[in-house]
Amino acid sequence: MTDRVPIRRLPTGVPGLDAVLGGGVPEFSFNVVAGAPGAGKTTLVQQIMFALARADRPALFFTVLGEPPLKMLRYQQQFEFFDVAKVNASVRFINLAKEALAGGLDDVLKRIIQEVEAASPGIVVVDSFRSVMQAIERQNGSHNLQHFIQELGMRLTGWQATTFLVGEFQLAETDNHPIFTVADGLVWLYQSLDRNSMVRKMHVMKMRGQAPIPGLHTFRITNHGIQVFPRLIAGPPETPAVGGAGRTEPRAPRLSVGVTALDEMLGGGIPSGYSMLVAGPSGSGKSVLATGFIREGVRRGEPGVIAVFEKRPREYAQTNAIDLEQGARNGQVAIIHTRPLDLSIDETLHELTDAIHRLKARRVVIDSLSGFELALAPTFREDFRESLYRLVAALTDMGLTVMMTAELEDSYTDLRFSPHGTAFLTDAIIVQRYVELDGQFKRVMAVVKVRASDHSKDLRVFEISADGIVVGERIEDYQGLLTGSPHAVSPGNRLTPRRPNARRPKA
Amino acid sequence: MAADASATAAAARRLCEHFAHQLTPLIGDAGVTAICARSLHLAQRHFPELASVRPFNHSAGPLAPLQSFLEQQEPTAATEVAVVVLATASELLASFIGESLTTRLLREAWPDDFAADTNEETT
Repeated sequence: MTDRVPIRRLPTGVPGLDAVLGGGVPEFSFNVVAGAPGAGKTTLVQQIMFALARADRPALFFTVLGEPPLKMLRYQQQFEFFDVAKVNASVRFINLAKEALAGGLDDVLKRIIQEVEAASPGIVVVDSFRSVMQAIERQNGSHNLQHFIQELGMRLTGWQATTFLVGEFQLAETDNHPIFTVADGLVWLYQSLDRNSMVRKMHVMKMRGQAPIPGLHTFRITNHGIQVFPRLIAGPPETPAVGGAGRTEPRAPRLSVGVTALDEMLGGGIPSGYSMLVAGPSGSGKSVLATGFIREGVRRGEPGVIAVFEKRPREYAQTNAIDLEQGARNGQVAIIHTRPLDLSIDETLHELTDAIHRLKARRVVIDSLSGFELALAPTFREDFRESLYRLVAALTDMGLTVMMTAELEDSYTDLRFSPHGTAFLTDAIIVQRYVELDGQFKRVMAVVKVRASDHSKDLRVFEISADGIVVGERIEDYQGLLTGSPHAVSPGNRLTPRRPNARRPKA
Repeated sequence: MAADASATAAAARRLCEHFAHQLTPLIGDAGVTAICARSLHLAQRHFPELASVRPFNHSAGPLAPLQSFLEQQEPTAATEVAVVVLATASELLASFIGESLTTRLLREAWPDDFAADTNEETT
């Protein structure tokens, strides 16, 4: 038997925020939402307030000396969450400018308490509390400020209100302001500038009674309001079995990649739940292979999601000569073309998982890592490898089989599989190269690695036909193909890709 | 005549008071003063004599000078001025915070007038 008091957590109505907070806002908590001007503080608290306010749980929104309330009402009602029907019903706005300017501390506290006791609100917001504090400090000094905050916190919590104090605080102030000690929850909002891009970030510095997700979480403000993209927590300490490493479970079923001969080279297809990198130079057929992987999944009743970072979805489907659009119409394929140049990994994962859950997808393609890196805001590019690791881990932990493509500059002096140093993150690698044979450019392909599985070591020529990839014979008559200077080891033989009777492996 | 003027001024005062009473908690004294000042300025197109009405820094509230002005007018003129100023203020408010929210607030400020409108519409 336990005598612990249960703490009810209120859903904030801000997508992604409940997860970040550790399950929602604790009821009757006393919270500070801090950040620089334009960080999204007022939008965040109003979105929460309108989501929570109802007839039996009214909300009071005290405006003080910050943004003039007339303007605040004008701009905030542009957001979809701003429900005009709730104003003066379950949501009341009360201006305290007069008390703050004329009477100072005592009048402000008295008026807040008076309104709270009259309305018994479930939600109380003071915006901006910073201006209240400045007025108090000017008049009474820090001793009274501490007393004021203690008193306010106790009275509001005692009156069963969940409170949000909004303020333009500086990070350096967290050391010496009593508000940060008294507060149960402290949420900091930032605008992170890097070169020409701006990314909004949120940090829950504390949330008493529960465990928020640590670190910085990106968020966006649209006409829907704020959407938070919780930071992925994945990596060796938390997820030791990421990407198939150290798997000891019974043999995973294998998925066909849509090319019979390549399935054979992989040792019978790609093990389910693996991540695979397809690396090759521009035009080598990476996207064709990746979309063929999705098409094969559709054929087998395994929906797929493609994240395209280079071409637009329609162009992508057309370029790759497969009926992806039809698959999309049937709800078996989702093509995600995300907003480029200011993405975060977490936002990308959110869009992917949204589509994955909607389609109950089994296969995911990221085409390509080079485009993905470019689409990220500069601030995230520096951590691309670590971020990609978290993304791949999250997807494979969900049981998805992931195929990623990587643009690889053809180099005959340096055999690399990824310009991002990401090859080690994946469970399987297929490399495509151009070679010159008999006065022609030929495409060749090899399976470099399939973790914990036998696979072919052959280097095989392939062609791209209207139906997709056609793998030919192993090149036996030449050596030094990867050096760019092959030489024949036995004369006479000419290389002619063999067209298999059926491209698809037996199910 | 004086009684009529006084009654009109009283009615106008009541409307003004309710208007200010409803809006002051929401947008503060400064917000109500700003709306009144702009409304009086715009209403001068119809009533240039409103130029003498200054809503700022008045201890009895920003609409008190208008109420004093109305008490000095003929009943018909006072009614016309009050209607124009308050209608202008309502339109101005709607231009800032939208018609929906404005209607909601003014319905609470002037419930009788909205009820009368509703009755007229339904009969």
